Amino acid sequence: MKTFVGLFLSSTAFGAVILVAYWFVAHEETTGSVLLAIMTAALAFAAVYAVIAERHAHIDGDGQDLTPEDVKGEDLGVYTTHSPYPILLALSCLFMLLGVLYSPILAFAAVVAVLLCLWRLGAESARV
Amino acid sequence: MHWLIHPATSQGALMQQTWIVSLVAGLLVALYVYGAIIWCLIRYRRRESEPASFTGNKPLEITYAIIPLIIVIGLFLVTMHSELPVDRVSAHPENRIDVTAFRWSWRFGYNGDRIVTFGTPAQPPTLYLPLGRTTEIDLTSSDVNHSFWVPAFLFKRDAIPGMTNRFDLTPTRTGTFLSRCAQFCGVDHALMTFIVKVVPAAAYDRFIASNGVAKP
Amino acid sequence: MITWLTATDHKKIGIMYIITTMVFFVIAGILALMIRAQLATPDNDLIPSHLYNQIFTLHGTAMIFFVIAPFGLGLANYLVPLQIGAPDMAFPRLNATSLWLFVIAGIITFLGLATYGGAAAYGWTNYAPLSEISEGTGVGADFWLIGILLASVSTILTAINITTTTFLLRAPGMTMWRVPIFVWEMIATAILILMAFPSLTAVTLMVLIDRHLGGHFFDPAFGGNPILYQHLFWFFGHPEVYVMVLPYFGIVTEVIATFARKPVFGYVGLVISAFAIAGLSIGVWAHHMFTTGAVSNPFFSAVSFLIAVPTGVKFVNWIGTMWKGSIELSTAMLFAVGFLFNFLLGGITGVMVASPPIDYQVHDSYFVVNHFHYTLGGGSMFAMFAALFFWFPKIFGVKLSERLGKWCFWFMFVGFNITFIPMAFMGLEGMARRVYTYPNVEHLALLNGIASFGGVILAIGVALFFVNILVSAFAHVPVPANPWGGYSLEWATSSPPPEFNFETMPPINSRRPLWDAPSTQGSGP
Repeated sequence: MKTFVGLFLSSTAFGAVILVAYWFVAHEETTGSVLLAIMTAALAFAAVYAVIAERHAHIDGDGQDLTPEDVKGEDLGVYTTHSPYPILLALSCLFMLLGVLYSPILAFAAVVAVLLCLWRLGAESARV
Repeated sequence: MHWLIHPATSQGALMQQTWIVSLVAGLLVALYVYGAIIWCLIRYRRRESEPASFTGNKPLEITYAIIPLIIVIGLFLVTMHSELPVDRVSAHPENRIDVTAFRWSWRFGYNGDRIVTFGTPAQPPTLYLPLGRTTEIDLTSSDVNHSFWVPAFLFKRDAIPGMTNRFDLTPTRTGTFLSRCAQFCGVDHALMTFIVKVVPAAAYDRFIASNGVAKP
Repeated sequence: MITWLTATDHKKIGIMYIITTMVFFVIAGILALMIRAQLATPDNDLIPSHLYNQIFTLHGTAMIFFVIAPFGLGLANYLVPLQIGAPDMAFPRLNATSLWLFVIAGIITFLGLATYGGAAAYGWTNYAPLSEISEGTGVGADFWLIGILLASVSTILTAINITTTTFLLRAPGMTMWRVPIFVWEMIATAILILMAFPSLTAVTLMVLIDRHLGGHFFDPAFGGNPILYQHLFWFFGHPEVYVMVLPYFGIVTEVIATFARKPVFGYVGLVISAFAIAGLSIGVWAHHMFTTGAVSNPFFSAVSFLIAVPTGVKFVNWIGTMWKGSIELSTAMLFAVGFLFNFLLGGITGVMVASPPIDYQVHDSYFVVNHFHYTLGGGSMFAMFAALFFWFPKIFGVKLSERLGKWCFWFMFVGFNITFIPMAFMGLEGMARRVYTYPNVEHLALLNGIASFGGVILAIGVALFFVNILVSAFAHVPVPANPWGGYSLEWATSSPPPEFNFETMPPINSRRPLWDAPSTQGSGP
């Protein structure tokens, strides 16, 4: 996890460097500066989150000398193997976009379908 | 090189130098790396002996990071050597021509639009340029993005609706050069050609003075 | 059938990803052959302009959005959990959602062909304001935009999934500095996707708003700006190039190390260079806009040149990995070496076009067509085949014929170079890209004839690959867990792996768990 904190912190620093360099060379061109600023802000957000999350993290993968024996019997959670909702959600997204362009009724129905799928997906993950 | 890159403007001659330096540098790097790969494939094909087990070599890796850095810094300097003069626009051009791209041909306006010529995809228009004089081209588009490309000048610039691009051309030899739109612009993009004709300055002056009657 | 449609297992999802990309790969290849047929002779009228424009648009769209980029993601779906010793991806249902969004995106994009007026015909870059003028293509262009919108969302979701999986689900002992280079390259790819793809989502939505909801983002008559489109598009578009290359760097690294029987040379250097490339690629987008006269050419030129440095580091590491090794030229290794040869040429022309004065001549010409086909075709596509030959036995439990595979490689390698070398010269002689015909001037007729001939050889090579699959499936020789003597964790489990991947996990105390603990090698059928 320490590696990831370092990764996001250095990415943020790099984004800031590019942003400042770009601003100096081409500040009259605002689109690029805005894009770089948003990107750097997003990286900073991830970095801050990583710093906070790192304090409470216990990740088996980070243990240099851990072996599979050491974590035997540990609960890895339940991994699902099947769910009908992802494909339904994807189809609903398609009809939502088609509906926005061509048919408000279709759009409305598709939005309902998207919400239903999301609700079922949420219920499924909560169950396990 | 003469066959492919034989520029007909002084700006093109500058860019030709960048071309040649980059091409030579690229070929040398390619030969070196190809040599190393082929050597590995021949010398280290699978044999009875055990392979080595080293996992890196810091000094060597750093050296081979610095060498490309030096090469690209050199290439960047060579680039700027031609880029800056080519992009510079003269404050007092000897001649100015308005070029407007439209789907799918060109409109050329000489002498403050006193002489105007149009083309069609079937009848490409001709752009006359005086030899040895610096002509400023004011380029725009009336519909979608196009690009003004004269391969013999090693040069193109985009024609974009809502903005005017200015650049200088100084032809160094007479001739007729097939030119075209380079930015995809729809059905007849392939036919959106024009002809650049570099003519002696005197002939060009007669063309302007006669309001376009005396074709050079 | 239903078990596949509802599957959330990362291996099934990976397989469906890869099969979908292969379908689009064949379609894109057929479109490419149609392009070469039309351009084989000057002033040809085999394919009319409006149809030709749809063909090259769909060829580029398919190869970029539905083949090269998603193959890397699909392979990562299959391999990343195996290589880090995880039972599945972190979010299996999200993973399935990504897959189906991607499949549906591809289908809706190509359904444009069935609409009145045909599919989108604006090139894969879809430049506004051209793409906002309905010129014969109305519904088809909408379908294209919907497809790209869905594909971009799907890609972002996959990137989140890959990042989280590598953060949290590594097996005990699999520290970050022990994961295979392929995993590192995928982390760099995923973070790059998260930075760049939202820009694509935004710009595609903006074009849809302009087309249907009365927006004028890119229309100068109403205060819009066509340059804004290019900024937003290339802010995604250039990082996308590395999204299509970084996974393949990872593939090539694994293949070379395995067949040279040697540890990866300069592991840390490879990781750092992956992130250096990803980082720098954020700052080079406007080198696609050198000729617009609206951007700072020196800035973008300088950063573009700098990308050559980490890429050079990678070449040193690959050659270093082969150096003093014991190289077996299997089909996968041949394709990896083919990648090195082709990608180097693409890289060198890439450094050339990073120079604005050179770009002024070759931008939007066939020289650039040569350049990006050497990086994405000769580079990524060859690495894709290296991956297919290398991991096919693991995924399907069947080894592909090496004999046929070598024929496949040589046809593809020779065919590829015959097709694309002439294009550099076409560009210098003044042939623009995206033209459906060209006049018989200079050497264009000869050069195009050679390129079309090469295209046929390349197509035979690709066809041999699919013949190989049929022949090998019919012969059905079962393979052991580790047929190539690989070192990473996926070779520790059976071929194909069981549900949740590992019956028993080998101890992990180095970067090469299987080489450093040989007792686990060859276990399982």
